[in-house]
Amino acid sequence: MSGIRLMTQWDTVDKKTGLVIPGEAVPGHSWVKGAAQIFSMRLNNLDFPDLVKDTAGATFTLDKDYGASTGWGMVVDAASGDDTHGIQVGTGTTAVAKANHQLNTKIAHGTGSGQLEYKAVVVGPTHGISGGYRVTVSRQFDNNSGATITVQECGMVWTCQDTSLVQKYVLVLHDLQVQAILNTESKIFKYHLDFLV
Amino acid sequence: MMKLSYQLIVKDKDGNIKSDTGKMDAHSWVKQAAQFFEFNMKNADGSGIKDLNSIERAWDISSNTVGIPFDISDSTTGVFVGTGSTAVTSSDVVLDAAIPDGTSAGRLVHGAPTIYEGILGTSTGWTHLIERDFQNDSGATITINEVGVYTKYDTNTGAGTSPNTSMLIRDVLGTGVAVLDGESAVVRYFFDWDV
Repeated sequence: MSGIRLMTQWDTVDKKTGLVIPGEAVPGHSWVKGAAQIFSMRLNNLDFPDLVKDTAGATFTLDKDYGASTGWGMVVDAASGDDTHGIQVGTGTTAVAKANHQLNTKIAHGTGSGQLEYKAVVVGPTHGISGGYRVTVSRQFDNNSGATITVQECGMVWTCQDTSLVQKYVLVLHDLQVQAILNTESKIFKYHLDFLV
Repeated sequence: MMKLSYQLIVKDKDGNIKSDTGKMDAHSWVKQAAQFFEFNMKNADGSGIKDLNSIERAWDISSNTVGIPFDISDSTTGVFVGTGSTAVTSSDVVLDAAIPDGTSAGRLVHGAPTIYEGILGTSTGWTHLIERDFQNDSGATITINEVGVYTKYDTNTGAGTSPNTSMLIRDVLGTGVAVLDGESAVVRYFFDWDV
């Protein structure tokens, strides 16, 4: 197997102890158009020549330069409460298409009906695994909405900037994932990026 | 899955294609590639990246005085070739035996990187590529056995920034490709982002 292998994992946070009970890592699937556009921009160090679509469906010209909040265009470090980028979850079930620019139906951050509390994204340190090295991006979701929420889809959004240096958000990964989160329960979703020899 | 492929084309003295490997499965993102993704996604300074001399360096995330991550438009980065054939390991930091630039014995003239802007749709996703030409004016045949991709970045030394180079990808060819004197080789890496 060559390239960057994607694996996904759901962990459960024990309500009483706070201990994390790891789930099974299973293959992820879906890099979407935004990933190729941003990485191409980064390799060539040129503003991307075609319009890129952000998670709101608006198009913009992707800028190549460094931004304090957007780095070099691949940033996932969303803070607690910020559901604009990093890992997002949703309830949509439509099959993933390669040109997707947003989750089908994103679950918003919050404690209201149908909402989950998005905790800060964590990017783990590069570490060795069988066959190569792994970088894990994870995010905890707390359900204080009053009812069970069943997640049906997950995604990763990178933040970048346009040529007017306005911060933008671009979907790079999208997977259909089913995971029920009970009221008062917390779960952690992980994307493992495996760089394999 | 994000798949990596390479292709090596040899052209004769008249520029006609003499041989073409076609797209071959590449294998080998090495540790430094994972670290680059980690530091870029964190948007934070990093450390512990090995340069081509296996010295651990720090990564200054915001510096672009000299180094811009992944940038292949600079001739000191991008695609490189070598004669080594030691099997790839994920901890490799440099080509086994990189072929230096020039016209002397054992050297190939490194062309400027060819920039392909944009991406193309495929049946399974999206693809883009990077490419470089290598001209053999050395007087003898040179056999390419390995290919790779280097990138550069800055280290903040406290008294300014210092540029460093690290390897991201290395592949050993199944069969070495001979480039005769007067011939040229075109080396491409394809990045396939699949749904």
